Amino acid sequence: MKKINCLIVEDDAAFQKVAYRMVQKADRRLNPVGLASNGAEAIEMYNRYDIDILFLDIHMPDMSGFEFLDEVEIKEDMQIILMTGDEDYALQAFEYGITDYLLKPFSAIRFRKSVTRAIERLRSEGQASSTENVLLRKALQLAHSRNMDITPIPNRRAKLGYTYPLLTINLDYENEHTALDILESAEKEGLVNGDFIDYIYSCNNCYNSLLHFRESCPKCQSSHLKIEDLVHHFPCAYVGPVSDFVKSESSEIMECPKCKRILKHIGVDYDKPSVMYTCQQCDHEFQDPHIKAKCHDCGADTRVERLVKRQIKKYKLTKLGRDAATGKYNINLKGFDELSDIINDEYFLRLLKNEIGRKKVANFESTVAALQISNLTDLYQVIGEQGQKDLIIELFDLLNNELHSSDAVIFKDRITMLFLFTEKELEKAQSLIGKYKNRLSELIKDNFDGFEANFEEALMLIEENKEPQFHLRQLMSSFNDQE
Amino acid sequence: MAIDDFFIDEDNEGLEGKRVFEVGDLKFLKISDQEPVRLELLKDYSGLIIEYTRQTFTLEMIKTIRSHDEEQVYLMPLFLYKSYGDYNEVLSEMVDGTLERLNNLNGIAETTDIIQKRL
Repeated sequence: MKKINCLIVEDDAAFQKVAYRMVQKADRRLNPVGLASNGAEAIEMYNRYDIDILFLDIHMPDMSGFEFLDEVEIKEDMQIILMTGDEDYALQAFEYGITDYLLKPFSAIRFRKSVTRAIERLRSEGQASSTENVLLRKALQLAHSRNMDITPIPNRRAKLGYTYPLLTINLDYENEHTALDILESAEKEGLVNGDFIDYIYSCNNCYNSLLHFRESCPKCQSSHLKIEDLVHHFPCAYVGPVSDFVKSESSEIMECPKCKRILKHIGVDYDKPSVMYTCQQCDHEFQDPHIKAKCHDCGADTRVERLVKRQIKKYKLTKLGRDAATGKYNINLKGFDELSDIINDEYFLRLLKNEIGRKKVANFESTVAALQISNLTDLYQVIGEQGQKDLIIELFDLLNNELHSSDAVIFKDRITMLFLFTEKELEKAQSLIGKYKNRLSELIKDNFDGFEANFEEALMLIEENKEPQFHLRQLMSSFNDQE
Repeated sequence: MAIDDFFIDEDNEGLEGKRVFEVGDLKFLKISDQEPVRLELLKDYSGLIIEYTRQTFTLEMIKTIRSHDEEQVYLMPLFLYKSYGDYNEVLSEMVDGTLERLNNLNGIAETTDIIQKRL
């Protein structure tokens, strides 16, 4: 039975305890992995674990629940249950696609109903993932057999404004956006490597990216606005809309309504520092309009801050991706989520970021390495999903027992391990990798009838002027270029 | 229009109406919206030449093949045939090649051979 990771974000210590107990009692599958008392703690825990259900308080000392949601990258299938004493946020909650809105105080029965709904929604998303596996396999097969990358093509008829011909062709218009989810999951699984191409903004209701942008009145939301230049007259410091200065519609002469002087030269005696909006619906005058995006598919009219921002990438198949294309490796998107403490390159990137920060202020060398067991997919073909999981856990435990306390290891995908060797030069790291290879090889041989593991490795010194992502890309490129 | 295009009928004389083309061991089937074909029959061919007549037909045909459940069908090499004029960019990205003449299919045979070897 797959555990459902929950994070409880609540600043009231007493209510936090109550919520924790309710989570434990509501369903046996619920696995509360973290309790956060403020936004900063919540962000740290959210990034550390793969959260399925988020119980979120709106009022926190350092940020609101909505600000927290703006800060983090919301997983599409994550369920959010808001807990608040205030009912004024229902509309805003809807904009964020909240699963449920619990008004404090609430009963255990109400809480359980809410959890059941969240679990049902999670399950339906999970079922979709089996279709995703099939579609991804097709795309990988097409890309591999054609020796092509999975490349986005700008297309005005596509829902996202871009289409991935090898993948989108299997999806109807309504579901074209799932191509991005599938490819993101595939990248997380190590099947493809993505290179940034573009950002897109899409409707937070239906994911359509063909949107109509315009300014609107912050008071009544009307887009029927009159826009005028604002004029600042230097000699008398009068500031007002240009219409205050125009004597008559037919005349171009501008006279200051305060000191009655004629304005002569822009930049010399007056300036136009900004613009002024007047709402033709409610007469409200303002300088900072809301920018709204209207979706011509579903009709939603949303502030741009609430649009869904997504990356469009070009994807190249990795060794694992090519094995999946040729049937040597079974694709199971999200099937290994329970190993998110072990297979988690984002955690590795955070460690690396810290190490880069340390290196900037001190003089030492540190090394990062990637170790790939290139024929592990042959073994995976015969040991099944549970066997794979058990093997990954065993390999991880072995490495952690061997590792120096200041070093770190994590799996990038099911065949690749990433190492951080703090304050160790290449030579030292190389010798440690050699030792770990022997230990891993012995473990695999002992457990799987003498199976000989083939290793490939890449090492590099950490460069303090480069981003963590650069290091990871460099390491992985040495594997991915080999057919 | 390029001057060559005026002689298109001459170049393809006797080939336009033909449906099956053989290049070595490879067999290609030409389909168009005038000549419907049963999907099950496609598996007997090494590749498919889709005559680009109407964009909607061509797109639907590519979609039907690429979204088919059977590997032999959805991985089949597809080529667009149009005697003159440009192709829609998205359509050409969905297929494995384009051709303007039917009298020399060595190019698509080579592509098909490479694809089959990589599968």
